[in-house]
Amino acid sequence: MVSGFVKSLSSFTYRTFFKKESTYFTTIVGTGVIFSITFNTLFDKYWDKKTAGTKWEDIKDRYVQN
Amino acid sequence: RFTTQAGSNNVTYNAAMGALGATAIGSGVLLFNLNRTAAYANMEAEGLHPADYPFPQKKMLGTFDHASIRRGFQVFKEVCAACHSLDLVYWRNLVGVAYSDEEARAMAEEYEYTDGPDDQGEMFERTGKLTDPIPRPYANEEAARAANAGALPPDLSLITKARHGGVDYIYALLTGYTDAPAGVDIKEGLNYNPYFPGGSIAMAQNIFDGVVEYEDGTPNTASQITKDVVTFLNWAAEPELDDRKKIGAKAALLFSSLTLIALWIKRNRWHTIKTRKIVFNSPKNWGKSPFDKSK
Repeated sequence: MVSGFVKSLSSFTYRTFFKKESTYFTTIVGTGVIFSITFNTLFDKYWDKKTAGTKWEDIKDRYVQN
Repeated sequence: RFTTQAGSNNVTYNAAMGALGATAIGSGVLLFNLNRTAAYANMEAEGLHPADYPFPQKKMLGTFDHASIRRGFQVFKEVCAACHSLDLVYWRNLVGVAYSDEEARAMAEEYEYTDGPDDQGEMFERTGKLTDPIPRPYANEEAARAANAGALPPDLSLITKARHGGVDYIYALLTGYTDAPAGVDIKEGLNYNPYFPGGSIAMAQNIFDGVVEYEDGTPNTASQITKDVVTFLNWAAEPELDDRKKIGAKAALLFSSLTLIALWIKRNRWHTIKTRKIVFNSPKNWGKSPFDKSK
């Protein structure tokens, strides 16, 4: 029903990550960590661009004496 | 009452019922809207409804303009702090929001604070530190009332959350001073402000064009000054607003995505059940039961 490549990729994923409970758990936690880091980094970049010029970090150079 | 006979259609009945329903709903909507904008006797006691001002932090994903917070604190310090306290804001709260560490320290040192007993048991005066609150103009409520003809200037730490209408109300109030209309008598010592419930407010107008000079050169019109001080007061009441909106946007994004994924997974796991067909093949020989061992 599915193509050979998809089936072999699914089989590979199952055998390597999902079959044993220990690897399954590691996959879940690892995916969560990587997703969290990636999502937060990208979203924070977008948010900082969206609020450019309004935050303290953007205006502090006028006032901070170093 | 409509009765139908066998074979006759219901077009007339349905049309009549539809017309009745539309008339009921339509007249209800019309009367509701006519009443909504009508005058009523209690309007002065509720105060004039403020306009919807375009503060950026009012939008769903909008955040504070921190330059405006900085100007607003300057206005508060120079104009409002003479009568109003700001007990819940400390000098350290301003660091990283509107002022640098050194600036906040320098501002705090301009004030004297009474500190706890020393080794001799005496209270002593010292210059301010970052851990001190913004200084109060009056030591207690009685002193405040005595200096303001019996009226208590409220603490402004939470005022934008404590008043119905929020930032719009505070802005409208501060810019809304006007002469009382004909026939309305304001007592001696009170001032007319249509936005204040009841119309008579003890506070006089304090914000005029040029009452504060801005260091960054922003034009110091009364409306600009009011906008800045209201933004500062909004920050004082909701200092977490910037983070709250950011986290809220992330949460909305994640939860909606996860919901859609969950819906898809459910339908994927259920599709075999929902599309199965159960077929009954009737037996050719109805006579004998398959459990009858007599044959």
